[in-house]
Amino acid sequence: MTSRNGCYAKTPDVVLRTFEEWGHTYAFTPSEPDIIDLNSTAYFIVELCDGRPYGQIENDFVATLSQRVGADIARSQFQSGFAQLLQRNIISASD
Amino acid sequence: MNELFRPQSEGLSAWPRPKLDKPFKLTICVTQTCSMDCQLCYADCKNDPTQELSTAQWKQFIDELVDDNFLHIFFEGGEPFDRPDFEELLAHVNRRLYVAIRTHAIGIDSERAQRLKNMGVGRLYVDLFSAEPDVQDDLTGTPGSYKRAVSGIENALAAGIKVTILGILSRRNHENLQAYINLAEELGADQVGVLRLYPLGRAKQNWSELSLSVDQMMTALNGLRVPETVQLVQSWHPKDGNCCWQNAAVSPTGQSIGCPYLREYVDFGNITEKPFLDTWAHPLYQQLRDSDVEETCTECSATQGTLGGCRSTAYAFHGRFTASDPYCIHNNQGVDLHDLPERLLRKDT
Repeated sequence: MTSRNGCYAKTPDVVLRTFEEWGHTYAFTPSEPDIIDLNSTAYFIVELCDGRPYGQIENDFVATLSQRVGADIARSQFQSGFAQLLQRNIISASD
Repeated sequence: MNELFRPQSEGLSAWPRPKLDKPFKLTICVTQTCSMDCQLCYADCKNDPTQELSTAQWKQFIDELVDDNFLHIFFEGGEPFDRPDFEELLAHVNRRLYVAIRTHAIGIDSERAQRLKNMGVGRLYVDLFSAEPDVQDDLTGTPGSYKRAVSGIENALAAGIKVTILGILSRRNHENLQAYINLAEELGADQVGVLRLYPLGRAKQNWSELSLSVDQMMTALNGLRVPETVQLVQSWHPKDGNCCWQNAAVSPTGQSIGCPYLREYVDFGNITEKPFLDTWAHPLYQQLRDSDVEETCTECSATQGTLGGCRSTAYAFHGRFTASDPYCIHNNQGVDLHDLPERLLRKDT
């Protein structure tokens, strides 16, 4: 779902369980029942989605990852990941 | 980023193993009753529900799991739908946990399938032993069971519920396993499971008519051609399922048994007498999770992180929880799987 004011957060009924040893988090999505394995990148995006606007979330992600992979790749990873998380309803519009 | 998501059906990446504070999946064997008379039944199902936990007790347990931040419950039996209050229990879950159900599916008409979809059931695992109707009907002791099971699968798929068909590899179906894999595609199931035969319940009483050697099993599995639309799930080398460390199960009477396949060998306490997580801390349960085993298959360990393979079959054939799984080609140690240990057939075991 697209946000009216561009703010996003974890979908309220989604349940997360993290296994730090693996760098993986499992997300249970009740609306379309499934358990989805998120890698550390996906989980980081979910963590950043705390109700702020898309642009701020993207900038935080890129700022954190750009030194490791470069800004362009970081931005591309974010946009792809964000879209997939949105499509699976793990994050959603928070307004 | 391509690995952003990984289908849960692939299972947990087993290495390095985390120390789980609770299981990833918990199986609720909700009833010991079933209307069929399967030769391969591990529960030796009867139609006597006495001693089973009540509706209120199961609801309380489900609430406890939600409070403890569990993700995934798996209902099986017996036959869950033969329990009159089963849909009431599903409704009580109310999408607070991921729900999968193992069933023979013969009672799933289109109305029930739609109700299950509406209640948030994620997947049905349907026991279908063969692609040949006569073999299925004979193995279940129930004429017409093949036709009704296929109808149940079709109803579930039409309602939008994912379906895995589950076959237990035995002397009755190993020569026709490819047709079974093809059947999954024809039905529209996205997963097919080929499972090992366990020496439990009624299956061990019929062992000589059902069992295969490990070489026969490998021959059946290695020649399979799996359609692109279907995922094959199997638990033999190199994917020996040493999964005690991540799963749990509770019997119809409330006993914490670790895994449905350990039902005849362990008892970690009753969930009506103590919190489930206290049973998770039972010393033997911890030992099984630690995979303290005498010998491991390096290939299975490398690819799946399994250590020694399935603890149930290791114990069944060797009498030790530290033994190796004889269903692994490298750890078989000369065990003839046709030859069931006498102690398993004694009434007191």
